[in-house]
Amino acid sequence: MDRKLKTALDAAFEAPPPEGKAAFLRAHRRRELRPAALLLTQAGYVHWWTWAGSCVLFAGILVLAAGSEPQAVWSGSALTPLLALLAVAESGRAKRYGMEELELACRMPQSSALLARMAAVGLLHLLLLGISAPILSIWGGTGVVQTGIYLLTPYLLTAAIGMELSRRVRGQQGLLACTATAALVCVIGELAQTVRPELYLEEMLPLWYIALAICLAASGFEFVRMIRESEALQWN
Amino acid sequence: MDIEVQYIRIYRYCYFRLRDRYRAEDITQETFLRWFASDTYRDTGRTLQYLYTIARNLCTDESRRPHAEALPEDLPTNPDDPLLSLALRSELDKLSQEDRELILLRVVNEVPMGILCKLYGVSRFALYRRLQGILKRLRERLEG
Repeated sequence: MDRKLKTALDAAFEAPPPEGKAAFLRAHRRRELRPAALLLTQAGYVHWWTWAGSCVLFAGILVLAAGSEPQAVWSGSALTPLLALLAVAESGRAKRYGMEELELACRMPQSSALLARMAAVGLLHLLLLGISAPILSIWGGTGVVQTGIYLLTPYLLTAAIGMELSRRVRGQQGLLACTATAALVCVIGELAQTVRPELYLEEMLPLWYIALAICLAASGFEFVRMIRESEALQWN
Repeated sequence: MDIEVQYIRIYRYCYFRLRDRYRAEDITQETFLRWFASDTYRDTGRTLQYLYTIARNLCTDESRRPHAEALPEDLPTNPDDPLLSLALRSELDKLSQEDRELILLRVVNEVPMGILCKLYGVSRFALYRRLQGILKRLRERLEG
């Protein structure tokens, strides 16, 4: 569009100056919800079962590890997929119970709410794994970082596959598929330390770093897709 | 988002919908008050759409009330070309209310096309063609 017409249009639509603008903007300001407040508010909407289940699993990891001291790390890491299952189940709760439309009708964008809830659950899980890692490393005789990797890798692997499955398979079947995945990762973890114990030697640590990086990237990717999908629904 | 700039733009939009500076300012402030009140609404990059939707609905409600006034005659004109300004204003008056509103929003208030598409519920292509059609007609009438 030519500049002359644009200037003329600007002039043609010139309105008399507003009189109360400065006073109004001085008197009123928008109060935005701070991230911490959002996190706390949304944490209240996470089902109590997710919090209780996480604490029970944490206790289970410690009890199981204490009962099998030389293999404390593997026993502990075999249970972390179940923690991830709790997080994935929580992320798809609205979808599973057919409450998605109700959440979409709320003033808070569903993507923000989902992000805050997952952050709350994720922070708790990170805290629990952070507490478990030094304890299991003492009982199992491995380094803290090494133990952390063994705990995090199955967790992130289950989370990534679980999120992908819950996007593809709707309803209770989705949850069943996620449970089956978590169980499979648990069994593979347990089997691997019996059939291929060399996988857990210190020389194999670079491979574990790569596996952790891949699982981290995959779960991050899946999480972003889940958030984008909820945004698309919001404005559909 | 610069709130002061958007205040002026929303006010201008309301003014040309209602043709009354005092009612336009009331509606502008009501629009912003509603936005301020939604303090749990986090900025998701759709603030403009939110503001224009409120302003548009409030203007529609307000214009249904029986006290519309004519646009005052002493409106400022383009000092570089006052004749063009007057001719353009006369051509704009011949346009439909919706076409005039579209020109105001896109050309003067510089509302992004994506937001306008959602506001009018039409595709980007359809909106672009409509806008180009209006501008072409305006240009032809001014030149002819």
